Amino acid sequence: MSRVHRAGRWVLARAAHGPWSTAVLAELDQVTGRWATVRWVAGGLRIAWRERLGVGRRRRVLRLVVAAVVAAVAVSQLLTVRFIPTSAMEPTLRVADRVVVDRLSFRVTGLHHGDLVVLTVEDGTETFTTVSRVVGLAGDRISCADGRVFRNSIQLDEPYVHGAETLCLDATVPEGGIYVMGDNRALARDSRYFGSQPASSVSGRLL
Amino acid sequence: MPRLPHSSPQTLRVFDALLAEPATWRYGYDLSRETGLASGSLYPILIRLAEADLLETRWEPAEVPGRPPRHLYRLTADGAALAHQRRREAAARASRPAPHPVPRTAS
Repeated sequence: MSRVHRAGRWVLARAAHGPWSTAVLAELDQVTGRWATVRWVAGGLRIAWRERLGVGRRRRVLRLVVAAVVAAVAVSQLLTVRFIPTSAMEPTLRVADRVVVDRLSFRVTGLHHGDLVVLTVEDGTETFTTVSRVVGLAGDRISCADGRVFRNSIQLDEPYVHGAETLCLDATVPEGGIYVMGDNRALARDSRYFGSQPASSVSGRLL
Repeated sequence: MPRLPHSSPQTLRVFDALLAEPATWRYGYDLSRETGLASGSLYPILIRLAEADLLETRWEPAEVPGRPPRHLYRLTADGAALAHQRRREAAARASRPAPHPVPRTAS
């Protein structure tokens, strides 16, 4: 008797747990050939598993595994961890910070002033993804004076820029658009350069 | 469409093997060889058939002391009837006429 045969018998004998897996084990003597033996033992283990768990528990275990996989996929779709290779949002976000992006809730609640969003910008021939802060929504008129930002002629309180001065041209956000600015006003490449962007370019909101 | 119980191609192969000698008690390994089904496919079918009382089982006392007793299988009367029925249904499916059957004339 070969080593494979002996090993298979040993494994199956330990796993066998009822009449059917014992029956598979008893037939093992008839099986010839290494791969046939391995296959026979594998099938026997399957039967032993069935007998050990019973149909009800087997279903429950399977359901649990499926639920875990679905949950993992769902979470990975809804929440993603992103790496920020930009200084546009300094000092709120540092270069190379990792942030958690919620890709779903903004679609339900809509975007609000002050939200930090991940958006894909198409500026001429160039397309890039960046992180920025929503300053204006559809219909808002954005302007700057004395280094401060005004929305519909009302000065914004922007503690997150830590006193940095902002320069911008007057702009009115079109229907279905958003106007974004990075917190690092001196360096950020944002709507002051590429203008309002369609709200559909937003892929997620930072948690 | 809900599937008929005990009508899968694998189960039909098991029926074929068991119907070859309906009165004889058969070993699992021989059934596996005749049907080409691995143990992991064959035994779940046997378990289902046995649970539905379509298959009877018994243990064969070991011929040689020290060898484990082997399990034997044979269709019950109900099992044989169902096996014949499933085989007929499968044959009918296989020879189902084309969408526009040629009308047959009495001869």
